[in-house]
Amino acid sequence: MVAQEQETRLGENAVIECINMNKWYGEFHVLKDIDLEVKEREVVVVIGPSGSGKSTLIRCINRLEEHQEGDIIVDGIRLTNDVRNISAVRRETGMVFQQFNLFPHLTVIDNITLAQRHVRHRPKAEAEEIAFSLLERVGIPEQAHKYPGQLSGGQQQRVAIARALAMQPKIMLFDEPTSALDPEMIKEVLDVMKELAVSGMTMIVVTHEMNFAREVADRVIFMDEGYIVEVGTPEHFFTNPQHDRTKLFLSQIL
Amino acid sequence: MTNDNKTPNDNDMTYVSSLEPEAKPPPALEAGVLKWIRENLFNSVGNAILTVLGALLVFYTVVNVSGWTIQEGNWLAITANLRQYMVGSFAPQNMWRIQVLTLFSITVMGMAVAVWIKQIARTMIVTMVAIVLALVLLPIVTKSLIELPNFYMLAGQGAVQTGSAIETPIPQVAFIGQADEEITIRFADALVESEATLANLVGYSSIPANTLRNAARNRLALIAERDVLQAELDANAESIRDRGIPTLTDAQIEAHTMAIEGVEIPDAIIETYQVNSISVLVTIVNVATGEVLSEPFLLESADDVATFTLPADGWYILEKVDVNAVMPEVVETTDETEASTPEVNTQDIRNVSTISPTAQSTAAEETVNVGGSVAILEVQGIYPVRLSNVSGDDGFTQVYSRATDFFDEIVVEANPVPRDESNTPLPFVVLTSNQYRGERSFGDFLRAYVTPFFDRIKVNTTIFFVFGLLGYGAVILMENNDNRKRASQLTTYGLISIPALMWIFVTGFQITTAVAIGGVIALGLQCLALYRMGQRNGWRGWRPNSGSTDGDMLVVIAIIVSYLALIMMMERINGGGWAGSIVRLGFIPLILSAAFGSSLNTADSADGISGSAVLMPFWVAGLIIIAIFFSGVGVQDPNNDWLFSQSNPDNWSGLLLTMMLTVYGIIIAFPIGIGLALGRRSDLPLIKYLCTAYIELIRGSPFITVLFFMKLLIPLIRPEFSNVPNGYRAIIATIAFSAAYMAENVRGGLQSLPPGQNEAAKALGLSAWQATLLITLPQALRAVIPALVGQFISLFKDTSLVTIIALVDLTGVVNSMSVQPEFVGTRLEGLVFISILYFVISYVLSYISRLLEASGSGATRRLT
Repeated sequence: MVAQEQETRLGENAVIECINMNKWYGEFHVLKDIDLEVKEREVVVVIGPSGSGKSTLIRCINRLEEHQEGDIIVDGIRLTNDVRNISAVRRETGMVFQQFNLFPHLTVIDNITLAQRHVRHRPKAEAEEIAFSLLERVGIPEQAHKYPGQLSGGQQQRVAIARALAMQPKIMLFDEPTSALDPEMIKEVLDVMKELAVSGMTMIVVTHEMNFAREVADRVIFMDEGYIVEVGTPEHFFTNPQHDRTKLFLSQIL
Repeated sequence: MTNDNKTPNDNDMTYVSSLEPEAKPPPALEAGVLKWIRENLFNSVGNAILTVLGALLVFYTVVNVSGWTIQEGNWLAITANLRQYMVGSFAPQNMWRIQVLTLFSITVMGMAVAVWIKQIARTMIVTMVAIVLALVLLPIVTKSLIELPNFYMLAGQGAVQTGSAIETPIPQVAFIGQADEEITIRFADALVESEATLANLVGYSSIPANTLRNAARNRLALIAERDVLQAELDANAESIRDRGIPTLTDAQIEAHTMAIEGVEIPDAIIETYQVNSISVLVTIVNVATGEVLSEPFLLESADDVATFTLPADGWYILEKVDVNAVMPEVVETTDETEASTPEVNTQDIRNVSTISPTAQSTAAEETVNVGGSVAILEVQGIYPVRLSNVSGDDGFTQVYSRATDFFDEIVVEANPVPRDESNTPLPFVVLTSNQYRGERSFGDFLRAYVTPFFDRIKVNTTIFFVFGLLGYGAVILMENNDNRKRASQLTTYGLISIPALMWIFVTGFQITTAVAIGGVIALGLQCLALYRMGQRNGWRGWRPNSGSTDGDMLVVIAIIVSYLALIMMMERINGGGWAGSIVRLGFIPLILSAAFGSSLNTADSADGISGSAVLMPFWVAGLIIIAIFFSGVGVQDPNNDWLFSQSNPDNWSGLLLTMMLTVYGIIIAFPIGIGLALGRRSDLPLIKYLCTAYIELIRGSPFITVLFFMKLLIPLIRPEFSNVPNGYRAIIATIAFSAAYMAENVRGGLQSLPPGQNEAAKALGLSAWQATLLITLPQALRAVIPALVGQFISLFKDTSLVTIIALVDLTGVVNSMSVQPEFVGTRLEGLVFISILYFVISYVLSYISRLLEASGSGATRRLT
């Protein structure tokens, strides 16, 4: 029944396709034969030990890292060295980083409006309207005119989410968004992400938050040593893992 | 404090205090200054030793340096050459430009303080008021409390001699007087009480008077020398008598004895010249009217005091004649007086007091009998006169001014001529020969050296401070009227326009220059308008009919003006030859393609090329125009029009040259440096290695080499380059030099940023240029403010090296000052002065930079 619900919720088309994708750092083979398809409105959680290539995978999707073999197709655009393709993909892809990476020399509101104005070419007033509504959505409208350095970690990460959303992307990539946060701040960020998932955003989330994966994910991907070891629904994954490596990993963290 | 109410009980552990203890001050050693001293200076044995040694060192240095400053330094040299130090040989008729420029800059700086660093305003205002008060009050106090030093002159028929120098008192000498000034003349009897008092003469003295002083000093020195030898002989004799051991060898005894015999001690000086035993008739004549002031005074003893009150400013002649020699003639006519001193008439006035020894000795053989009676007069109210050359509309004019008080106020242009209208210039109290001698007292230091300096700078300094305060007040006023944004905009525009105005004001106005600069500004406006339009139209291209019309009209006007400017510039540069053809070939297609091509291009692929791509060609074009404009200013129009006369860069000197080099060395090097830094981080190997090679080459060579390269090698590259004035070459060298260091500073800032910043910008879809200009560069530049200010300061001081390519910057002025006849050997004073100047400016700069880093105008510091 749950599977049926999902079928109706998810779109027909794959918005992200990785086909036989390989990446090397110099001689080191980081990503091995990755095949991945993400449908519209799907929430994919990627888990795995550190160094397994999770972050590299999603950084390849918006071309922060370059892959050497295979294809990545995002929203119908194939990622090549063509700058126009890359910027088109980046415009449709929002990214949230572990270290927030807010621009410290700009106020919160300027952080959110900067790319809107220079990439989307929205007039200032419109951009600020969008920014305020997003700040409302992530729950910190009162911080609009502060500098990032004056906010707590959780607030900064929520601004970072708002900044990415302001570009109205089709896909959101989360690269361990809660790893740099104090425990009591993790919840406020996860709440925002859950709300986002419910609203139908396509998301790929690299995280160690197993509860988030259990509650929100449509699919969970387990990676180790640069390849996808096991893929499944959350209940499959947390109740009945198949691969030995997966079992070992889950037994260690749960 | 009493514990009477407490009942101590050994068995009972409970304790109740019924009295609250009074608050006491901490022990003396635990509070205030004593605590600080104990904790910081004497907290360990090693520290205590260091403290004592350091204090001794500081004390020793300060005592010696201040001793020299007060007793010996000839600070008159600085006061007299102040103009040279500030603007050098900048044409006086163009000085108003420098004044306007300075006042403008100071006003803007006052505004900048109010806008950005309000926290120092209070300190600055207090400091400024204190300085103005000191400048105004100290001269008033010293003038009322301390008399100017006495002037000692010799009168009489006899000549005085020391060594081979023979000097004859001059009976007539001209001086510059001030209205209502009182002049008193008397015998300096206190001075001739003994030889020692004469040798210790302190004050201004003429060369003959000084010869008398030197004679006394020499005689005392000879006596002292003989006494030392005699004392050694006596000690030897005593030692042999008492203990039988000689302290000197026989040879030494013989040498000592011979030396003592060889020393010829002259007769006592005062006796030889029968000093102050004659009668002297003193008269003062007003040169302008030919009138004799009051009755002549006859000085016969120390009780006689001749007093004159001067009626007006100008030249006066002091006649001091030995009555016994030529009494009858003197009062009626000066002809005979002059005839009796023929050497005075035949010499050029400037050489009178420095008659060459041969001329002097022949004169002495004929007319002078050494050893005649003389009188040494103590004169109050007469001071040395400085003759200076002032460049004006028609070459140099000679100007006389008093070298003590009223430096600028009493200036006489004509020579002093005697009243018989023979037009033979008289000898005057020239500074070269009538200097201050002896160890100065602190009072004389304040009165005769500090006071004139303060008098000279007080008006200008006060005006500067007033303008600074006006700027500050204007901003405060605007902010009180809720125009905070307006105030900071105005200030920014003001700051930006300072370098542009500086260039125009210093080099001079020219129609073509004005239009060319207008063209560059128009080009900038054009960029801005295109950018605004692009933003409004969503980069759908340049459509004149879309949107509001004002922006479009602006574009059209800007394009027309900038092309007109280009045409005029080409005309101008065409006179320079090769540069014009490059412009003709390169500019039109560049501008046309930039203006239309890129905007259309943007329209075609709205999602492919981002906004700043449109701006780039304009920036490049603007930079090229500026570069060619600067290098093309070869043709100088040497007219003397007050507005359009051009200043010759070879004549820039003093602080003006230093500022030109520093300001343009930094401002033009700034974009170049940023370009080099970005180039060095570029992915394109050619650009990367070219930039790296340039940076490393320049950083690997000393500034002197770069200067010499510009000076000597550049003309070899192209002969036309030899027309480029030295001043411009030095500026180009400075730019080339500081750009390399700027690049490394900026690169350091770029590398200090976490890579996440760039990644976040890219992930948001910003292009590489946008990420650099909007995200990384602003943060990098802010991070390196201390390094940039440090570079500015070190460049400011490094410019002193241009002295070696024949430019006269501050150091050059020191050199040229110390060879002026009046101020020979004042190099040390000059160096001290420019050190203070350099220090004050550098310190203010670094202070402001510290405040800027900590201030809230940027946010980097807020990030932990």
